[in-house]
Amino acid sequence: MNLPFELDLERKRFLSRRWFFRDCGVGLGSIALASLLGEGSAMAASTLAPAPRPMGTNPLAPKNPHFKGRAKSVIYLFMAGAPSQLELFDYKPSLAKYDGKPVPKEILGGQTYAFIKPDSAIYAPEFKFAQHGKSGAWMSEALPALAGVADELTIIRSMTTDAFNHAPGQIFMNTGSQQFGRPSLGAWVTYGLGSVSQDLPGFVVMNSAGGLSGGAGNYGAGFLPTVYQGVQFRKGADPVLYLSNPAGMSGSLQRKTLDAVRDLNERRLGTIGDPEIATRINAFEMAYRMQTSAPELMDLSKESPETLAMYGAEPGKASFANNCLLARRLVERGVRHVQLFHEAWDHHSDVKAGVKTQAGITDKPCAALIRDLKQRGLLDSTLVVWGGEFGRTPQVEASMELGRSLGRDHHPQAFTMWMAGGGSKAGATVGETDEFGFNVVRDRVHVHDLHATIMHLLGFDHEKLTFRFQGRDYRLTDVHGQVIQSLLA
Amino acid sequence: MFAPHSQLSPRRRSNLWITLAATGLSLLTLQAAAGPKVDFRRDVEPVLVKRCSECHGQDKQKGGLRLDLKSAALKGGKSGKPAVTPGHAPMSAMIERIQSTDPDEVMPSKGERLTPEQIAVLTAWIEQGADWPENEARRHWAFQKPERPTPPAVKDAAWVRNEIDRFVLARLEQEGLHPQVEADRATLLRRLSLDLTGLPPTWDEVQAFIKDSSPTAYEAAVDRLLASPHYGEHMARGWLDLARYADSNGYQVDLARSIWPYRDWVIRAFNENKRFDQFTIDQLAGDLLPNPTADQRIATGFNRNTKINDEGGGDAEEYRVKAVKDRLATFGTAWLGLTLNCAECHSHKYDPISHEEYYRLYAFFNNTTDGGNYSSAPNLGVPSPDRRRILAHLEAASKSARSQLAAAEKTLAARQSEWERRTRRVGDVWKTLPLVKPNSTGGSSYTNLPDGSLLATGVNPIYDTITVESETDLTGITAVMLEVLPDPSLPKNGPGRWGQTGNFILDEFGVSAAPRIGPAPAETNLVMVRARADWEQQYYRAEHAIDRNPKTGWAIGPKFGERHFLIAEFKEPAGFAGGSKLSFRFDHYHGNSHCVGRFRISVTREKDPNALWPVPSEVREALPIPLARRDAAVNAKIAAWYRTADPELRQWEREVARLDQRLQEIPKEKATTLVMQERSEPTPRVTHIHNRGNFLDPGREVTAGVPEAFPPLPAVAVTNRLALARWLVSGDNPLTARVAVNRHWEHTFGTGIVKTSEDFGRQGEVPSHPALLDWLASEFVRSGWDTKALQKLLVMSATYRQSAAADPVRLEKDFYNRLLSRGPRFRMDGEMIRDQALAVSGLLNPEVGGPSVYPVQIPNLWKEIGFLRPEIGMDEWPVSEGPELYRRGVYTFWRRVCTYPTFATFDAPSREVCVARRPRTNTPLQALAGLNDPTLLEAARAFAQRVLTEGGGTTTQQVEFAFRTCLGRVPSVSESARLRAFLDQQLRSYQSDRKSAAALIAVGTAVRPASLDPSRLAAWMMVANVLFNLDETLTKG
Repeated sequence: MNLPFELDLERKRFLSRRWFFRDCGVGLGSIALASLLGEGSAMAASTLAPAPRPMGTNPLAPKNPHFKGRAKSVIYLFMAGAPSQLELFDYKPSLAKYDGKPVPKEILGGQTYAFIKPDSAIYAPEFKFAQHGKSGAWMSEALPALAGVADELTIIRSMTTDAFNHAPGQIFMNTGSQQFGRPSLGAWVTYGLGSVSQDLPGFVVMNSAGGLSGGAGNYGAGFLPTVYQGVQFRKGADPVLYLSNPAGMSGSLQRKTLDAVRDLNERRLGTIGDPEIATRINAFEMAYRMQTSAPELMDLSKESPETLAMYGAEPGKASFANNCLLARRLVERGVRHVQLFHEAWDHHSDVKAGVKTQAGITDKPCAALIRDLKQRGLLDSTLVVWGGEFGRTPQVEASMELGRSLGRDHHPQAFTMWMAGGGSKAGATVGETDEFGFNVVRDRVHVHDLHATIMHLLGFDHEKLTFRFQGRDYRLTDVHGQVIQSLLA
Repeated sequence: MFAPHSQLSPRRRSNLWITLAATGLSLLTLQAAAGPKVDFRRDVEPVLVKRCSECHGQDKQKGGLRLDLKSAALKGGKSGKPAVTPGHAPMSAMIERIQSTDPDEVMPSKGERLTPEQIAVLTAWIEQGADWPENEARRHWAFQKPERPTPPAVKDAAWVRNEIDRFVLARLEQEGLHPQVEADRATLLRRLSLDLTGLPPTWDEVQAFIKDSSPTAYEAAVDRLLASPHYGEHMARGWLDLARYADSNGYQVDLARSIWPYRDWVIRAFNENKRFDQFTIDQLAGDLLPNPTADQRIATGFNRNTKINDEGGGDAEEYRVKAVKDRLATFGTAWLGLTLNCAECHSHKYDPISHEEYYRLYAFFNNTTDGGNYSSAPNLGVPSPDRRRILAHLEAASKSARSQLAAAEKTLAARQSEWERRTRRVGDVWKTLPLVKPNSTGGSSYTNLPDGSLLATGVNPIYDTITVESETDLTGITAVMLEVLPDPSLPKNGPGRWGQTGNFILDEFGVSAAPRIGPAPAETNLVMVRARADWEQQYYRAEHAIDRNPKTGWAIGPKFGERHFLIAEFKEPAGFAGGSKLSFRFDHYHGNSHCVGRFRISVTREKDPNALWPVPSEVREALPIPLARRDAAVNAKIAAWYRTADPELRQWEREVARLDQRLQEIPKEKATTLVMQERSEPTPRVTHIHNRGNFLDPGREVTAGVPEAFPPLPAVAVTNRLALARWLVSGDNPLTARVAVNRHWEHTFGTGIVKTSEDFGRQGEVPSHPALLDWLASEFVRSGWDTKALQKLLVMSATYRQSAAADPVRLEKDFYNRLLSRGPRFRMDGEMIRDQALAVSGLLNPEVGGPSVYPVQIPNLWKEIGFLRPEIGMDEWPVSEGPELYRRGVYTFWRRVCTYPTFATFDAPSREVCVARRPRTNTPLQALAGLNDPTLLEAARAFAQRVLTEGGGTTTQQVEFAFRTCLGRVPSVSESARLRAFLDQQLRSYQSDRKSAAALIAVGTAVRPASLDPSRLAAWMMVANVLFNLDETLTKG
């Protein structure tokens, strides 16, 4: 006998006794709901790895991690396209000093780039930098709002990745592999923890700019059950597919439909006694609640004018600011993982204007999100992560052919990300790059390490949260990853 | 990295460790021998595999030591000291080294120390005598050829219908369980029909079956269903999941491909009951058979279902290698139930497949001509499918559109005079804006021309973003018109700047507005809701310029050198009191200087979208002249122009043109399919081991061959795919038949005898009924690999015919029904749920085979997820029409990046890789799909029509008709009453709200008899919706 079978037995004992002998037909809904919501937790807690749950139960029931984690939910602000760390966080005065001069050979090594020649001229940062907060974190003038919450951030200046093109880079950052078809971070988190919210999807995705280079694989479930894949909230009235009743069917008629379905299903349960029927009855009830809770969630009109102003959000419009506010509302309602994609940072040309525009769009909402989570007491339990798929070159990108000038190319060796809340170390700046920002020289944090650290903050041993597929126990970090202690509070 | 798969309950395992660890390490050796018994497979091997085998295993032997074989471990390495001395932990080098505190000595040399618990387990194991089954991997049950077991004796022999029942009953009796009673006949026929054809029985069939009291009635029903053409469609689906069959190439771009003839081949193979050995050979090596038939070549599409990369920058060899490895993984899962791909980077850690043996198998698949990059070659032309049904539909539709057009012609004059009146009153709705401050990121210059247009000059950038500004006092601006104009200074006269044609591609067109004075609002960009143009190049539609997708745009080929215009409507009227600054943005991302060359911009306050079509000045100027005073030539000119602009006429003309085009295209469509083709070179492509799985790091050269743990290849002249396929089905292979029969078992009973139907190796789950599995496997081979006979055997058993009802005892002892103490009952796949709704509603189009179809779907399905690539032929989901909307789910276009949503919601895989079994979840999103999917709603409406036209004269009769048509049984009194109450409730509601009734029944395009009362129809549609969403309906049971 193996573990899943063993768990089956345990579940069997629990269900058959409590449910059948005592409760069948009496208070059925509440008991079935308890079996959906509660009973999974105790079992999962007694094992190291949450076992593949018996199929047919609610796979999104909340589960306990390996140990008590600080973070209960994640908001990942994915700055797709790759923002320039040299215009935002990684202050390199030497770039200004050597502006226009070729890069010293010894620094270059054998590096190749997507578009530029490695010996392209050094390019001075386009923005002024200053230190902020008690922690003295360096940030550029492009991020005035974020500077105001500098002491909440863990700035990682020593990120490094393996991929230097957008699609593989995004897929790598989100799934730990450059191959398509692996589960995304959010899918792993939801697989491991389930979701507290039972009337909203456990893993929600929103997009506020261009289409994603890496596509839906960035929030896919890979080989995990599809129930763990990110549900992309759609623009418009129906954030979830098939959420709205068809034209001509009012909410009250829908309710009557569900009542009839439930009554007939309960009769069937009485005859057939298959516990799966009870699960289905509850799935329909959850769907009904989702029909109310999802539109309620999307409706920002009840937020105070101060809150709206803080984010720069406007009810009824689609924007990054609105998405940040929605992210808070989702987390508040128990959604486990929220991922915002903003693909707008690929500044091969005119990095100054590009960063200025995008920082203009994102700076205030990001800072507002942190303040808002904090004032509501949610920051401790919510891990906010900000970053792109790689960084940008210290050299200039310019090409008559491509119509580009004063831009920066892709740079995987060194870039900056930040985290806030959820047990990350507030007011810390971790890692350092060389004089020109080419390479990491201290406290390198690889993508796998970041993933291991995020999992740790959620209460998982990243080596033990696994899923068996094609005979192998896969995990987010593949065979790599170290928890970076200096990022932890 | 392989985490050990625990074979023990966590509690028991930790107890063992705690007991061992608590004794303290120094005392351990004394006490361990007497402690709890250590099990090699459960406790020891996982540690050896995870922490030792990398350096001391099959692939590498540091210090000359192997720890994956007992004999080698007893001998020890170069030091000469045995690593393991049974019964004497202190004399075992392994224990010494894992306990060492010397950093140069301690093992493992990499990673963390072993935990005290692990050290305790290894120590105790050695103290207890180091029980180590030699050659454990090869002795695994699945690698032994199945012997045909004798079915066991049972107490209740009267229950037994065939041999299956003896195996099942013996186990039940052992557990103190009794079989469930036989299910009633209505339930049985529904179960049988759903299992064998994927479709529910008709009520007539149920009636006939109930009335037939002959002893052969059940068998006759089985035979009838096995002979149905829908049997093959249903059985094919599971195989298509394994074959990772899809209609698109996969990877980021995921272009469409044509390989549906392979899908049809699978359906035919099941329907014709192709022997499973031939089924295997045709798919793996049909092209290598002597004088292969077209069908045998089509079958090799099995291995062309690999992904193809269509995006630039890929290494062709890399993608070819990926495809070959995918073939190997699929081969392993589909036929051997083995995870061969575990041996891609190093020897398999549990099953007897070495790293080298993996590449010897790889060599079989490494000699074909296909690549994995850009091209789908080789393809095979196949006979065109039968398209008579869709052609008949299109002809009827074309006829109807023509009569609509004729009717519109008749009323044209009236619409023209209405339009004239209006236009005379309003005048020109468009106001041309003066354009200032042109700016081009690419560096072009602009000249203002007297007609208000701007002409690009100077640098002709490859990419460009142009912005231009204007000021206006207008408010309530409803739309903007962009005119692109020809100019002699432009290449080929323009209006674009591409040197070869004068085309352009306007990827995005944006407008923003701010007050002339005072602060700008946070969001200045205006939202545009609809774009139209006088001309659109195929795949480059006007809508693409405002869809905020930089990868799609508007272009005008082949109508170059002419004026064209695009009209975009704003979501909300724009313009500030006190004047506005407007800014217009043109994004050109396409490259190759596809930029707009000369353009003019106008805006309007007109609220009627039909009045926006720009009127040429000569027509407009003639309008004020009273009709009587206009000369005939002027009238003719106006009429001629109006004819081109009349919305109604244009609509029907477009429809007629579209239908005529389809009618012409369809008969000319060439059907092709992807096939395998062996290279023609005299020697096979050389295969090397890929060190650590990296194809850029080749190791030893290897030749094609099968792993040693299996029987050898039959002696053949050529060691190729054909030899491999024949080896699989020689009858000696221990796995082929077991894996195949297990799949049929899983299909029928919900869970395989081996639950992990994808993994029969040592990491898979052991069989629930090992002897039954072996008996079925030997029976399958004995029958001549007769698939229908096997399927029949399963459904003829008493085991299968049991009632699915559970009770406390059964749930206590057999919660998951692995012991088969009751009949099978489980939720159906998404395809079946849809097929069933279409079948009971009467909408189902029973055609078998043909190109994939596109059922109704929410708009912008692909666009929403950013997978629209019209420029390379991947436009939006092109909704099918007429009968093609109601084909079975197996024919739905399968795009890998975006599986048909309702199927995906019910756990269909993406088919990017081989999947042996679908999970079976139960979620709220499934409930939403069941309630609101447009196809299911349309089926509910059609079902309601059936109830009202065929269901009898009284409501009682109608309720019974609806229930039994959907569920194949008569409702109980209480069920009838509940449905009746619901119907009455809905009827009252829709009778008092006829508008809602009309809205509800408007769903879908299926014919709706005008004679039916809309309120009644709506109420019945709601009843159908309830019936479709019952657990019983969604479940086979």
